[in-house]
Amino acid sequence: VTDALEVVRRALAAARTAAPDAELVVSGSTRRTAHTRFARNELTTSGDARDTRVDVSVAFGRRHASASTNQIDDASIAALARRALEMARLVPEDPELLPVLGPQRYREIGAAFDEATSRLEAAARAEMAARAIAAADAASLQLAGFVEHQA
Amino acid sequence: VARRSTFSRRTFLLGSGFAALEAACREPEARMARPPEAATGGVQRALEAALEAARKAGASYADARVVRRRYEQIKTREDHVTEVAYEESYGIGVRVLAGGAWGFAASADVVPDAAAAAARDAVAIARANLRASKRPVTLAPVPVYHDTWRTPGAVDPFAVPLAEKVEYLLSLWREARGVSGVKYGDAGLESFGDWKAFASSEGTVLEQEVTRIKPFFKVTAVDAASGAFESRRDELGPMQAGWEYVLRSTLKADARKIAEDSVERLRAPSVTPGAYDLVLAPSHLWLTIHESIGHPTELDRALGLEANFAGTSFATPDKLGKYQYASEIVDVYADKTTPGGLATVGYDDDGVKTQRWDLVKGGRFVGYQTTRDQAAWIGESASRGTSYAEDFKSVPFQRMPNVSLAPSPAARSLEDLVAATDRGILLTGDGSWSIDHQRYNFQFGSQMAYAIEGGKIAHVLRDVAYQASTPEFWKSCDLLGGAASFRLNGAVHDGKGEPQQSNAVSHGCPPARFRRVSVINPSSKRPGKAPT
Repeated sequence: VTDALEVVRRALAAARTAAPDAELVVSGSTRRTAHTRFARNELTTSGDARDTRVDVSVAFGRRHASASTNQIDDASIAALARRALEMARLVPEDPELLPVLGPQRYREIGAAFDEATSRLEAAARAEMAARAIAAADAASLQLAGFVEHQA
Repeated sequence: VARRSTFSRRTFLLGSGFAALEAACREPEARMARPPEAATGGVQRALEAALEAARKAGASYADARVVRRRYEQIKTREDHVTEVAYEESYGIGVRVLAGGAWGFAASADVVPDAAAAAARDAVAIARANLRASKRPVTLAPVPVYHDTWRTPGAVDPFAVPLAEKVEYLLSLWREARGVSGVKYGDAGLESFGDWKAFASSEGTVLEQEVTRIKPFFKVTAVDAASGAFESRRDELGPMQAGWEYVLRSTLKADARKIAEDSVERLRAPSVTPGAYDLVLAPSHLWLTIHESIGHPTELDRALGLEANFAGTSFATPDKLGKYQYASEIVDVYADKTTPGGLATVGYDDDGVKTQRWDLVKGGRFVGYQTTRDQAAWIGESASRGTSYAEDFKSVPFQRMPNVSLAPSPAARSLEDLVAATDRGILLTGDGSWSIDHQRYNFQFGSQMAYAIEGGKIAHVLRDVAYQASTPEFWKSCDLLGGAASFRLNGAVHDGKGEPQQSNAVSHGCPPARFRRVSVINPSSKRPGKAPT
């Protein structure tokens, strides 16, 4: 499993090295998204995808730009940082740009991650869909719906 | 009956398609925006690994797509830049049929191990899906293709210096700001670059690249005394093209007129509701075509597969070939081959060669948009080639091709349509809109509305919107412009499906006239006079 924080640290280091005088905001996420869709009382599409995203926002004074990628090897992250920096250097100043927030303290949200949901597989989604479809069939109703989980 | 296991190791490893793809990727003069891995065979190895793993896991069919997406957005407001953002994604999506059910899995790692793992996951998902499947998926047959395709002649907008693009957008405001009453100006440029390599277990190997671009300019005028304001957007559509499209466009030349229009709207009389003959310019009519013919003729929607999200359609299969959708002069066709069309491509995401076909012919409803797994549902033996997935991690499904209204054989211009209209309204540019769940009752606004009196443009109107039912509206069409008046416009962010995916689609049309359409005045402050 990709560690999003580790990716963010690498991206921040790459951007800092390239432009020590820039204001930087780096964010990242790693996500598994899976779904099962059904309609007309039968299953239609189902998929499972894993992806990572890292976003580098750069400001030189009032010049700013951002770039993002889902490729997290060192070369791609270095290229991402270079691109964001080059873009920020090239654009005219934005008089409306707000300064970057300083260090923040964030409230812990411990219950936001559910281990069981994160481990759901297609069989569980199909079972949910099958139960809903069976109920619709029994009631002579036409059913369409969607099961999705992310972690 | 589900297709049995039909592909062998020999089919894809010995196919000449990969050799052709690999050779193309090694060309030093290659102009496609390929990922670096393509030149070293990495893409081919990942595609091969995916198909091989799917075969070993028991899939009866598999396809894999390596997709690189690039997107850049630049926004300016008046004399400064407010946003410059670039996004890129890259990965492989693997789709399989196993036991007659679909499965799909994707990975951002375009390497053989990850591609094979995604293929095995896709087969496991397909097998799990049998629990809720009632009929096996049947694919319409398709020839094997080894081919490449790219947007012809596009100047890669990602290779154009950022400063040049920004300067262009800022220059629009310089043209507009001198108009008295103008207060704000928003400009923007969206650039899209999609590169795809596709391989199927049936032996098809394709490489395609599509470049799209959308410039944007909007001016807002404010009445300082009352605080009232009116905005006016450009009417230049997005296009499958590169930076050259922006430079060749009239956007810069039109910038001052756009500003003048925003002021004129502010001072214009509010429309009196009633029944009017409407002359609709292509810059307006494209959206009405999109909503009232494009979406209703999506077969999955018509059958209820989009019922829980994007809606259904009144154009159900029992009406196919029988239903009078429009007046007899109306021919509407679907097409993924129109030059410049946003949905134009060589092959769809099922590997089907793209084509043109009729949706409405002589006013009669005659065709649907289909994919390989849908064709049999309406008794057709071949797909229309409308499968599309937004990016590597999206499941391909039926998406709208370019849907266009054919011009009249007569050489007739917009001016001719106005001259032929005694009392009516000319609408240009798209505005706010709404349409019901079955695509049957709708309302559309515009950018500009002009009163037509005695065959001449009399003055600008504001607060104009029209309401109709789809067949009532299209049956009232009695006059079309000729081929020289045909224009493309379109949308780059058309949403459908769950998880929602975005599609880019064009709609071409000539100007057209519609008789006795109900015009309303949606403004609560300026309701206009009572109908006379």
